[in-house]
Amino acid sequence: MTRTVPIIRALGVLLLAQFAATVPGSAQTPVHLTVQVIHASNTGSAVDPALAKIRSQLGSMKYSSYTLLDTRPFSTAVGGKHAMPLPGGKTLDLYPYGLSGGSLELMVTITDGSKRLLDTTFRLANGATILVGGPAHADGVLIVAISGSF
Amino acid sequence: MDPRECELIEPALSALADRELFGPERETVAGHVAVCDACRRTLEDYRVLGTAFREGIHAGSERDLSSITWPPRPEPAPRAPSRVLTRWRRLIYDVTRWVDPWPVLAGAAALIALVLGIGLIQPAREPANAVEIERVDAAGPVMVIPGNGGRMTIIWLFDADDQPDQTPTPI
Repeated sequence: MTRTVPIIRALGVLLLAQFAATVPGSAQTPVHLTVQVIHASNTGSAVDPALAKIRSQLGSMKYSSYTLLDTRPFSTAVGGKHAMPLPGGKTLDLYPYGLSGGSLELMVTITDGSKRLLDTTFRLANGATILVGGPAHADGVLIVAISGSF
Repeated sequence: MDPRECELIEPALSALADRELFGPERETVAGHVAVCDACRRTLEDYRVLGTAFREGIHAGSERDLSSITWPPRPEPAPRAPSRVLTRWRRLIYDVTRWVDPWPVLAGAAALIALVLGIGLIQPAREPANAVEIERVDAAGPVMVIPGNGGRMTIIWLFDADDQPDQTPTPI
């Protein structure tokens, strides 16, 4: 009797660990985010070949030139916070905070110093891309494309 | 002694030994036995045999039978439940008497296979919206532009310097 109790406890711990490892949306679920920083302008008519995947989405904007300034992949997990600098002293913060219904729940903020330009939360399907544009940069605007796979 | 007279008397000797003869018949038989040695011996044999028979019956009647036990009769085994003709079994039995079930079962199996096959060949559904905006807070005006059947979304931030013709158009 005295031996069976520790064995039962050990089995319970193992089951809980297994359960935590298999529950969708847990902190162990790997999340891959890709952030592309694009400069859009009406100077020229070149579209960066690296933007081929989202070219159809960019076509809805009235700019003639799209240049990829930076690509930053993030291999993280739900609950991980990441920040990356944007041109012009701005900062992009990413916070994947959950998985629900097959979609990644993501919070994104763009700040310019102490000024918060954008604070949004959205759900991103696997492989989907969201575009955030508008901040002025050089002779055009910045567009941030955020893609997620998990 | 005339043998024919002995043949006539002999069947009555047993009755005489058992004292079942009366009247003239008894006198006739007894008179013959008195003069016939063979029939007298036969009568003695009947009497001895009758005495032994009665004693055997008497001894048997006084025997204690209470100690005699027979093996108990085995209880009949209860009928297996599966063999009990329940209401449903009776219904199935009645139906199958008049309808051959195999074509019906084959048709049902084909229908199930057809439904499953249609379900398998249907293309996987894509999510209605690849991006679902829950909340947007911005320092200035903002426009959320869903397009391409919900498979893409653009969040556009406006500054005071933005020109109206620079905003994206929904598709």
